[in-house]
Amino acid sequence: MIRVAAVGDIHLGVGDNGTCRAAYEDLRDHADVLLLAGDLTRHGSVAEARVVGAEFADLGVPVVAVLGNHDHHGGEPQEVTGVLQECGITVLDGTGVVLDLPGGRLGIGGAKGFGGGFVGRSAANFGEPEMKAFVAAAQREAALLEQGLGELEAHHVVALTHYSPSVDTLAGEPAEIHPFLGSYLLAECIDGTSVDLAIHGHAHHGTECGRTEGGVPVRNVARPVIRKAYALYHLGSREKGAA
Amino acid sequence: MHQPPTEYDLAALHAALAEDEHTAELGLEVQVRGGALYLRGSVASEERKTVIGRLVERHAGDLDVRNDLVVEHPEAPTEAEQL
Repeated sequence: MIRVAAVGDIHLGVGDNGTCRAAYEDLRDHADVLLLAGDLTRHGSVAEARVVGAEFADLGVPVVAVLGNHDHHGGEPQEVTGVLQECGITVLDGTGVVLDLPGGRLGIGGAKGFGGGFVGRSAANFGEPEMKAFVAAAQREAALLEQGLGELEAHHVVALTHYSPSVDTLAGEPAEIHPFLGSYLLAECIDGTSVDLAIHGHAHHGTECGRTEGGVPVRNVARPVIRKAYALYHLGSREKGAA
Repeated sequence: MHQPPTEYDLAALHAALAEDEHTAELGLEVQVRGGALYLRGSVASEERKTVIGRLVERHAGDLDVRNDLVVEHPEAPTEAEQL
Protein backbone atom coordinates (compact mmCIF):
# COMPACT_ATOMS: atom_id res chain seq x y z
CA MET A 1 0.00 0.00 0.00
CA ILE A 2 1.28 3.46 -0.92
CA ARG A 3 0.20 6.50 1.07
CA VAL A 4 -0.26 9.56 -1.16
CA ALA A 5 -0.73 13.06 0.27
CA ALA A 6 -1.90 15.72 -2.16
CA VAL A 7 -2.89 19.39 -2.17
CA GLY A 8 -3.15 22.18 -4.73
CA ASP A 9 -3.88 25.90 -4.88
CA ILE A 10 -1.95 26.99 -1.83
CA HIS A 11 -1.21 30.35 -3.54
CA LEU A 12 1.73 31.46 -1.40
CA GLY A 13 2.91 35.05 -1.69
CA VAL A 14 6.01 36.85 -0.47
CA GLY A 15 5.68 37.14 3.31
CA ASP A 16 3.78 33.88 3.67
CA ASN A 17 6.87 32.05 4.93
CA GLY A 18 6.01 29.57 7.64
CA THR A 19 2.24 29.67 7.09
CA CYS A 20 2.04 26.09 5.75
CA ARG A 21 4.96 24.31 7.30
CA ALA A 22 3.51 23.37 10.70
CA ALA A 23 0.80 21.14 9.20
CA TYR A 24 3.44 19.13 7.30
CA GLU A 25 6.01 18.57 10.04
CA ASP A 26 4.80 15.03 10.77
CA LEU A 27 3.84 14.27 7.17
CA ARG A 28 6.32 11.40 6.97
CA ASP A 29 4.32 9.55 9.64
CA HIS A 30 1.21 9.60 7.44
CA ALA A 31 2.39 9.65 3.82
CA ASP A 32 5.09 8.26 1.54
CA VAL A 33 4.91 11.10 -1.00
CA LEU A 34 3.43 14.60 -1.30
CA LEU A 35 1.91 15.74 -4.59
CA LEU A 36 1.40 19.45 -5.27
CA ALA A 37 -1.27 20.09 -7.91
CA GLY A 38 -0.23 23.56 -9.08
CA ASP A 39 -0.99 27.19 -8.16
CA LEU A 40 1.70 27.04 -5.55
CA THR A 41 2.41 30.78 -5.93
CA ARG A 42 0.14 33.78 -6.28
CA HIS A 43 1.79 35.57 -9.22
CA GLY A 44 4.37 33.08 -10.47
CA SER A 45 7.43 35.05 -9.36
CA VAL A 46 10.82 33.65 -8.39
CA ALA A 47 10.52 35.30 -4.97
CA GLU A 48 7.25 33.45 -4.34
CA ALA A 49 8.76 30.20 -5.59
CA ARG A 50 11.45 30.59 -2.91
CA VAL A 51 8.71 30.80 -0.27
CA VAL A 52 7.12 27.61 -1.65
CA GLY A 53 10.48 25.85 -1.80
CA ALA A 54 11.26 26.67 1.82
CA GLU A 55 7.81 25.50 3.00
CA PHE A 56 8.16 22.09 1.36
CA ALA A 57 11.91 21.40 1.63
CA ASP A 58 13.21 18.53 3.76
CA LEU A 59 9.83 17.06 4.73
CA GLY A 60 11.28 13.56 4.78
CA VAL A 61 9.16 12.37 1.82
CA PRO A 62 9.56 13.06 -1.91
CA VAL A 63 7.61 16.09 -3.12
CA VAL A 64 6.37 16.07 -6.72
CA ALA A 65 4.61 19.06 -8.30
CA VAL A 66 3.12 20.50 -11.45
CA LEU A 67 2.74 24.24 -12.01
CA GLY A 68 -0.64 25.96 -12.34
CA ASN A 69 -1.87 29.04 -14.19
CA HIS A 70 -0.87 31.36 -11.32
CA ASP A 71 2.65 29.92 -11.48
CA HIS A 72 2.75 31.03 -15.15
CA HIS A 73 1.39 34.55 -14.55
CA GLY A 74 4.84 36.12 -14.11
CA GLY A 75 5.98 34.76 -17.46
CA GLU A 76 8.92 32.89 -15.94
CA PRO A 77 7.73 29.31 -15.34
CA GLN A 78 11.18 27.91 -16.07
CA GLU A 79 12.76 30.08 -13.39
CA VAL A 80 9.98 29.15 -10.95
CA THR A 81 10.58 25.49 -11.77
CA GLY A 82 14.32 25.93 -11.25
CA VAL A 83 13.85 27.39 -7.77
CA LEU A 84 11.49 24.59 -6.75
CA GLN A 85 13.87 21.94 -8.08
CA GLU A 86 16.76 23.51 -6.14
CA CYS A 87 14.65 23.02 -3.01
CA GLY A 88 14.27 19.32 -3.78
CA ILE A 89 10.81 19.44 -5.38
CA THR A 90 10.43 17.40 -8.58
CA VAL A 91 8.45 19.47 -11.09
CA LEU A 92 6.71 17.51 -13.86
CA ASP A 93 5.86 19.07 -17.22
CA GLY A 94 5.32 16.37 -19.78
CA THR A 95 7.56 14.15 -17.73
CA GLY A 96 7.21 11.28 -15.31
CA VAL A 97 9.04 9.94 -12.30
CA VAL A 98 9.09 6.54 -10.59
CA LEU A 99 9.60 6.56 -6.82
CA ASP A 100 10.77 3.46 -4.97
CA LEU A 101 8.60 3.72 -1.85
CA PRO A 102 8.16 1.30 1.07
CA GLY A 103 4.82 0.14 -0.37
CA GLY A 104 6.11 -0.35 -3.91
CA ARG A 105 7.04 1.66 -6.95
CA LEU A 106 4.85 4.70 -7.59
CA GLY A 107 4.86 6.23 -11.06
CA ILE A 108 3.71 9.83 -11.44
CA GLY A 109 3.13 11.45 -14.82
CA GLY A 110 2.40 15.15 -14.81
CA ALA A 111 1.58 18.24 -16.82
CA LYS A 112 -0.20 21.49 -16.06
CA GLY A 113 -3.11 20.74 -18.38
CA PHE A 114 -5.36 23.48 -19.76
CA GLY A 115 -8.97 24.41 -20.42
CA GLY A 116 -10.96 23.60 -23.52
CA GLY A 117 -14.04 22.06 -22.00
CA PHE A 118 -15.81 18.74 -21.84
CA VAL A 119 -17.49 16.39 -24.26
CA GLY A 120 -20.20 18.07 -26.32
CA ARG A 121 -19.38 21.47 -24.83
CA SER A 122 -15.79 21.96 -25.82
CA ALA A 123 -13.96 24.47 -27.96
CA ALA A 124 -13.19 23.42 -31.53
CA ASN A 125 -10.09 24.01 -33.60
CA PHE A 126 -11.98 26.31 -35.93
CA GLY A 127 -12.21 29.97 -36.85
CA GLU A 128 -9.95 32.73 -35.68
CA PRO A 129 -6.26 32.16 -34.88
CA GLU A 130 -6.93 33.03 -31.22
CA MET A 131 -9.49 30.22 -30.97
CA LYS A 132 -7.18 27.79 -32.69
CA ALA A 133 -4.37 28.78 -30.31
CA PHE A 134 -6.64 28.11 -27.32
CA VAL A 135 -7.54 24.65 -28.59
CA ALA A 136 -3.94 23.93 -29.60
CA ALA A 137 -2.82 24.71 -26.04
CA ALA A 138 -5.34 22.18 -24.68
CA GLN A 139 -4.18 19.57 -27.17
CA ARG A 140 -0.51 20.26 -26.42
CA GLU A 141 -1.05 19.87 -22.67
CA ALA A 142 -2.91 16.58 -23.15
CA ALA A 143 -0.03 15.33 -25.31
CA LEU A 144 2.39 16.36 -22.54
CA LEU A 145 0.39 14.40 -19.97
CA GLU A 146 0.36 11.37 -22.24
CA GLN A 147 4.11 11.70 -22.64
CA GLY A 148 4.58 11.95 -18.88
CA LEU A 149 2.47 8.86 -18.26
CA GLY A 150 4.19 6.80 -20.94
CA GLU A 151 6.45 3.90 -20.02
CA LEU A 152 6.24 4.24 -16.23
CA GLU A 153 7.36 0.89 -14.77
CA ALA A 154 5.49 0.98 -11.47
CA HIS A 155 3.01 -0.85 -9.25
CA HIS A 156 0.71 2.16 -9.15
CA VAL A 157 0.45 5.21 -11.40
CA VAL A 158 -0.89 8.68 -10.59
CA ALA A 159 -1.70 11.35 -13.18
CA LEU A 160 -0.96 14.81 -11.73
CA THR A 161 -2.37 17.97 -13.35
CA HIS A 162 -3.53 21.42 -12.31
CA TYR A 163 -6.54 21.60 -14.65
CA SER A 164 -9.32 19.03 -14.29
CA PRO A 165 -9.70 15.97 -16.50
CA SER A 166 -13.29 15.47 -15.33
CA VAL A 167 -16.45 17.51 -15.15
CA ASP A 168 -17.47 15.54 -12.02
CA THR A 169 -15.00 17.35 -9.78
CA LEU A 170 -16.20 20.75 -11.05
CA ALA A 171 -19.61 20.31 -9.42
CA GLY A 172 -20.20 23.59 -7.58
CA GLU A 173 -18.52 25.71 -10.25
CA PRO A 174 -20.75 27.61 -12.70
CA ALA A 175 -21.13 25.50 -15.87
CA GLU A 176 -20.31 28.59 -17.93
CA ILE A 177 -16.68 28.51 -16.80
CA HIS A 178 -16.05 24.76 -17.19
CA PRO A 179 -14.12 25.36 -20.45
CA PHE A 180 -11.63 27.40 -18.40
CA LEU A 181 -11.29 24.74 -15.71
CA GLY A 182 -10.31 21.62 -17.60
CA SER A 183 -10.43 19.43 -20.65
CA TYR A 184 -11.76 15.99 -21.50
CA LEU A 185 -8.58 15.50 -23.53
CA LEU A 186 -6.72 14.97 -20.25
CA ALA A 187 -9.15 12.20 -19.24
CA GLU A 188 -8.87 10.61 -22.66
CA CYS A 189 -5.15 10.15 -22.22
CA ILE A 190 -5.58 9.01 -18.59
CA ASP A 191 -8.05 6.35 -19.78
CA GLY A 192 -5.65 5.41 -22.57
CA THR A 193 -2.97 4.32 -20.10
CA SER A 194 -2.95 2.38 -16.85
CA VAL A 195 -3.65 5.07 -14.26
CA ASP A 196 -4.88 4.31 -10.71
CA LEU A 197 -5.63 7.85 -9.58
CA ALA A 198 -5.88 11.30 -11.20
CA ILE A 199 -5.10 14.31 -9.00
CA HIS A 200 -5.85 17.93 -9.92
CA GLY A 201 -6.61 21.35 -8.42
CA HIS A 202 -7.73 24.69 -9.95
CA ALA A 203 -11.47 24.45 -9.29
CA HIS A 204 -11.83 26.12 -5.88
CA HIS A 205 -15.61 25.72 -5.76
CA GLY A 206 -15.61 22.19 -7.12
CA THR A 207 -15.96 18.80 -5.48
CA GLU A 208 -13.30 16.35 -4.31
CA CYS A 209 -14.46 13.10 -5.89
CA GLY A 210 -15.19 12.08 -9.46
CA ARG A 211 -14.26 9.54 -12.11
CA THR A 212 -13.18 9.55 -15.71
CA GLU A 213 -15.32 7.93 -18.40
CA GLY A 214 -13.08 4.87 -18.01
CA GLY A 215 -13.69 4.71 -14.23
CA VAL A 216 -10.38 6.08 -12.95
CA PRO A 217 -10.87 7.93 -9.64
CA VAL A 218 -10.33 11.70 -10.01
CA ARG A 219 -9.68 13.83 -6.94
CA ASN A 220 -9.81 17.63 -6.85
CA VAL A 221 -7.36 18.54 -4.07
CA ALA A 222 -7.62 22.35 -4.37
CA ARG A 223 -7.19 23.45 -0.76
CA PRO A 224 -10.48 25.40 -0.64
CA VAL A 225 -12.20 22.13 -1.66
CA ILE A 226 -10.52 19.69 0.73
CA ARG A 227 -10.34 22.29 3.57
CA LYS A 228 -7.29 20.50 4.98
CA ALA A 229 -3.54 20.89 4.64
CA TYR A 230 -3.62 17.88 2.31
CA ALA A 231 -5.80 14.94 1.37
CA LEU A 232 -4.60 11.38 1.98
CA TYR A 233 -5.15 8.45 -0.36
CA HIS A 234 -4.03 4.87 0.25
CA LEU A 235 -3.31 3.22 -3.08
CA GLY A 236 -3.48 -0.56 -3.23
CA SER A 237 -5.34 -0.95 0.06
CA ARG A 238 -8.14 -2.54 -1.95
CA GLU A 239 -6.66 -5.38 -3.92
CA LYS A 240 -7.40 -5.32 -7.60
CA GLY A 241 -6.19 -7.71 -10.32
CA ALA A 242 -2.58 -8.69 -10.81
CA ALA A 243 -0.28 -5.85 -9.81
CA MET B 1 -29.97 58.25 -3.59
CA HIS B 2 -27.35 55.85 -4.78
CA GLN B 3 -27.20 53.92 -8.00
CA PRO B 4 -26.95 50.16 -7.64
CA PRO B 5 -23.99 48.72 -9.56
CA THR B 6 -24.80 47.35 -12.98
CA GLU B 7 -23.65 43.89 -13.98
CA TYR B 8 -20.90 45.63 -15.94
CA ASP B 9 -19.65 47.18 -12.71
CA LEU B 10 -19.59 43.71 -11.12
CA ALA B 11 -17.73 42.33 -14.15
CA ALA B 12 -15.14 45.09 -13.74
CA LEU B 13 -14.82 44.18 -10.07
CA HIS B 14 -14.27 40.51 -10.90
CA ALA B 15 -11.60 41.51 -13.42
CA ALA B 16 -9.92 43.75 -10.83
CA LEU B 17 -9.88 40.92 -8.27
CA ALA B 18 -8.03 38.75 -10.78
CA GLU B 19 -5.75 41.37 -12.32
CA ASP B 20 -4.82 43.65 -9.41
CA GLU B 21 -1.36 42.64 -8.27
CA HIS B 22 -2.42 42.85 -4.62
CA THR B 23 -5.25 40.35 -5.03
CA ALA B 24 -4.74 37.98 -8.02
CA GLU B 25 -7.91 36.14 -6.96
CA LEU B 26 -9.91 34.29 -9.62
CA GLY B 27 -12.11 32.19 -7.38
CA LEU B 28 -14.12 34.65 -5.27
CA GLU B 29 -17.80 35.51 -5.62
CA VAL B 30 -19.30 38.97 -5.48
CA GLN B 31 -23.06 39.38 -5.24
CA VAL B 32 -25.45 42.23 -4.58
CA ARG B 33 -28.15 41.19 -2.13
CA GLY B 34 -30.52 43.43 -0.21
CA GLY B 35 -28.68 46.58 -1.24
CA ALA B 36 -25.27 45.40 0.00
CA LEU B 37 -22.32 43.88 -1.77
CA TYR B 38 -21.37 40.46 -0.43
CA LEU B 39 -17.91 38.99 -0.90
CA ARG B 40 -17.71 35.20 -0.59
CA GLY B 41 -15.01 32.56 -0.81
CA SER B 42 -12.02 31.40 1.17
CA VAL B 43 -8.57 32.94 1.59
CA ALA B 44 -5.36 31.96 3.33
CA SER B 45 -5.10 34.66 6.00
CA GLU B 46 -6.77 37.59 7.79
CA GLU B 47 -4.37 39.88 5.95
CA ARG B 48 -5.55 38.54 2.58
CA LYS B 49 -9.16 39.04 3.67
CA THR B 50 -8.40 42.68 4.55
CA VAL B 51 -6.47 43.43 1.34
CA ILE B 52 -9.20 41.94 -0.85
CA GLY B 53 -11.90 43.71 1.14
CA ARG B 54 -10.15 47.05 0.53
CA LEU B 55 -10.10 46.52 -3.22
CA VAL B 56 -13.78 45.65 -3.22
CA GLU B 57 -14.57 48.79 -1.16
CA ARG B 58 -12.93 50.91 -3.86
CA HIS B 59 -15.33 49.44 -6.46
CA ALA B 60 -18.43 49.42 -4.28
CA GLY B 61 -19.55 53.03 -4.71
CA ASP B 62 -22.23 53.78 -2.14
CA LEU B 63 -22.96 50.15 -1.33
CA ASP B 64 -22.07 48.60 1.99
CA VAL B 65 -19.52 45.83 1.61
CA ARG B 66 -20.06 42.68 3.67
CA ASN B 67 -16.79 40.81 3.71
CA ASP B 68 -17.90 37.21 4.25
CA LEU B 69 -14.57 35.73 3.16
CA VAL B 70 -13.61 32.72 5.25
CA VAL B 71 -10.02 32.38 6.42
CA GLU B 72 -8.67 28.87 5.88
CA HIS B 73 -6.96 27.14 8.79
CA PRO B 74 -5.91 23.95 7.08
CA GLU B 75 -4.81 21.18 9.40
CA ALA B 76 -3.46 17.73 8.66
CA PRO B 77 -6.22 15.22 7.84
CA THR B 78 -7.30 12.65 10.39
CA GLU B 79 -8.22 9.92 7.92
CA ALA B 80 -7.28 8.56 4.50
CA GLU B 81 -9.42 7.38 1.63
CA GLN B 82 -8.78 3.74 0.69
CA LEU B 83 -8.41 3.29 -3.06
